[in-house]
Amino acid sequence: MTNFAEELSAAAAEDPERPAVKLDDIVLNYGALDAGVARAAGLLRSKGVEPGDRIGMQLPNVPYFPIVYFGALRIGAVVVPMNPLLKDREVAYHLSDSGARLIVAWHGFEDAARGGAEQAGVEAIIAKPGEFEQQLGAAEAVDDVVDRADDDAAVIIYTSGTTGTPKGATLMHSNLASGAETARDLVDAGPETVGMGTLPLFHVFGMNSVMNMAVRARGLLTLLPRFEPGACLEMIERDRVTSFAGVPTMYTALLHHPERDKHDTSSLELCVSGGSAMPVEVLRGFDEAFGAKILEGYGLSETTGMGSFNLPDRERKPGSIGVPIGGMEFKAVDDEDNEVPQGEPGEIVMRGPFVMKGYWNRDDATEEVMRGGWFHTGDIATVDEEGYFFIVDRKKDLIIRGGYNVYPREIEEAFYEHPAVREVAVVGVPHEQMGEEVGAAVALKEGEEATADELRAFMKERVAAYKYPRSIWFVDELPKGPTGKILKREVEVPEKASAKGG
Amino acid sequence: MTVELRDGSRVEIRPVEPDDRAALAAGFERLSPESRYRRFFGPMPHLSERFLDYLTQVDHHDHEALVAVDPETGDGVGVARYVRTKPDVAEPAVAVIDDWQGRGVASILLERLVDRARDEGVARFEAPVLASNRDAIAVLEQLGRTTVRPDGREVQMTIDLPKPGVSLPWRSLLREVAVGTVEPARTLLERIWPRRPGDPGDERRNVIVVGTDGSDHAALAVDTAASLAAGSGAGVEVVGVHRFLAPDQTGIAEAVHDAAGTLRDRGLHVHEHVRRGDPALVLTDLADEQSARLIVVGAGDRSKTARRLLGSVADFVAERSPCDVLIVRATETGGPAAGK
Repeated sequence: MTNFAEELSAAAAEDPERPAVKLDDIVLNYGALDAGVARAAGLLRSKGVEPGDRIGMQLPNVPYFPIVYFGALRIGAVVVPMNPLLKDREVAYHLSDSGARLIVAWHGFEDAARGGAEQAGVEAIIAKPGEFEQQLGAAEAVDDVVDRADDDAAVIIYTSGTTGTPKGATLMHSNLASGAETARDLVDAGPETVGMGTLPLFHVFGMNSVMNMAVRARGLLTLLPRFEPGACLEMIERDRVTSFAGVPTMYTALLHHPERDKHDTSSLELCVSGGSAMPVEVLRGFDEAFGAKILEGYGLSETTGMGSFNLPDRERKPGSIGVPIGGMEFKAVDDEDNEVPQGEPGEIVMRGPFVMKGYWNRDDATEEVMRGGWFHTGDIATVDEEGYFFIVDRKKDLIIRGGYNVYPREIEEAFYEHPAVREVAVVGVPHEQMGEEVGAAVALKEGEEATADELRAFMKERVAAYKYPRSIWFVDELPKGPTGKILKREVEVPEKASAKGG
Repeated sequence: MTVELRDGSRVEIRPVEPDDRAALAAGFERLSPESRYRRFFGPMPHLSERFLDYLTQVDHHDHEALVAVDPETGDGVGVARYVRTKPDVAEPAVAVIDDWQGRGVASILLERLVDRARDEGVARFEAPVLASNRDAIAVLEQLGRTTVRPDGREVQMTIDLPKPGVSLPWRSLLREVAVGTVEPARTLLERIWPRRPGDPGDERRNVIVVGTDGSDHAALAVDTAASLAAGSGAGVEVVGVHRFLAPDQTGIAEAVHDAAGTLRDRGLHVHEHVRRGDPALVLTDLADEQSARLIVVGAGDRSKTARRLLGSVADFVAERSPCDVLIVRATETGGPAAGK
């Protein structure tokens, strides 16, 4: 089996009646999901999509997501998943950079999708309940899965990596296959598994550890498009959810929800957490309150969201990202790529089945990050005597807001489009719920005026809602070194900014 | 002064003047967003008037800036500067416009900047560099003994500037000499001791000339040249010589090509030459043409008899070389002459 889409066809062939995807009272069994996938494949093919073509996909966690995703893979197309919150300029960038042929987008974000598609000069297919079914119904069913080589591109996920502008991490069919298999084995999932689908599926973590894992296990995926702890608790009870994958902020919200005790969450068996470090007290508190272990893990877009985990049958070390899994090799190295002595901090480099093919059309960046055949993560870790990795720092300029990566450079570049902005530094501001919030120190040009609210509104139009700076404050000048280098570490965050809630 | 770059193009290097303000602003416009980000640690779409003043009105003591100018157009192509932060410490910074990157402009500017810094009493550079900017880290590391401390998105580099009299590319050579793998010729020893009186005609490029005929001792010379080049950022000119009247010379071009390939695999900048004539004359002529800093030559290039009669190539080269010469001697077991 080389095309990962075979996995879905196989699941449908084994037991078409088995429930596959659920959204409230809509349940698609594997047979129905497969039929939808066949039509989506036909729809895309009728638009001229051929094997190897890229298609943009901007969908929330609704059943259309797996339908279009597997439909595209089935005909050999490469999926470029995008956050539905992206603004048109961001959508245009993703489409142009990947050379996408078209975009399938959720009707609720139609304007950004259409605007972006127009700028990129490609067609937008708007997925609106009621209408999209008709479009699918009118398309020819494609049951055959186009043959793909293991190293053919399957998915391109955009990330800024350690430096520079957003680049497309190109995942191969083999990455998806091994990622899904290892995720399944990690939580020992099977047909009885009910996975909670509230992590966004457009994100590598949700795509692999939630959706692909569920399909690989032949389990049920129950979808919650927008995480809300109360609704999530209700769903756990209603659907007897056994497996939950989330980011630390989700676990914190569930743990502190006032109605937590009123829900029967005893079905929960095992949870996985990634995206950012989990506070130890949340880890312990959740274990006690829910009777389900949380396993912390680590992975990047470039590694199919997989890499290392705390394993259920080994000691779990709070604050650690665990040990390499699924045939991955990890090392902590110095700047010369020599392994550092045990206990010393070094950059995590890894190789193995989850590592991407490279950055889409960026040979230089690929070579740089794959030096010596090892993928360089930009994360600094120490390794203890038992081989557990602990992240202690990062080499990249990055804000992790509620588990999602925000790249300051991208936000800064958008800021400079404002005519009054002379200088700006975007920095992480400590935040109780989010871990970090996005803040910006702005110096205005002489004689120009702008208020923080104006700038915030300006930024909201340009970057996705999860990225725009909540706190903006003004400075006369950014702190700079003697040769004019901006010293981010010395940017002072006003108390007001850090105290303010998200 | 005008300097020839690795690819043969030339730049003029001189201290910045207040009149360079417009040229500096123009050069900034030719920096890609990536280059600007690396230089200023932020996107930096414009340079303010005040900052331009600061960058061009320097006192040449606590703040020195050297510009590289394209002599054909008069355009600025790069700037290196230091600004003193403590009595004997300064922060360096360098930027080269994108079209001119990869030709060694930054290395040359920084080498000159080190000379200026030493003259003004700076003993150490302390440089913050983006951790992802591996090219800059590599170039700065060539300037002197360096420690690199990781610091989030940046690294803090501390570079002890070499004492006057020992030019930069010789650092690694001295290390090689110290461990006994190479044997310095007389001219090198002179070089290590205080610098000879300056002579404008003495200007040398960071280029090493090495000869090969495909033999084992030549391979050792090539390998040594490679280590030195890797350690000093020098370009390498590999030359093979067809001797007059000597039979069976078909292998020479091949040997040169193979040696060059090995060097390229090590990431070095290499040119190949095949010439006809006396090996010693060819080597020294090429060094002269290329304004090379160093010729590396194997010690055992001729049979014992021939050496007695003609003197070795190494002797000959050492005698008439326009630059320093390094003679690499193989032991009887074929390894370098360690401890001898």
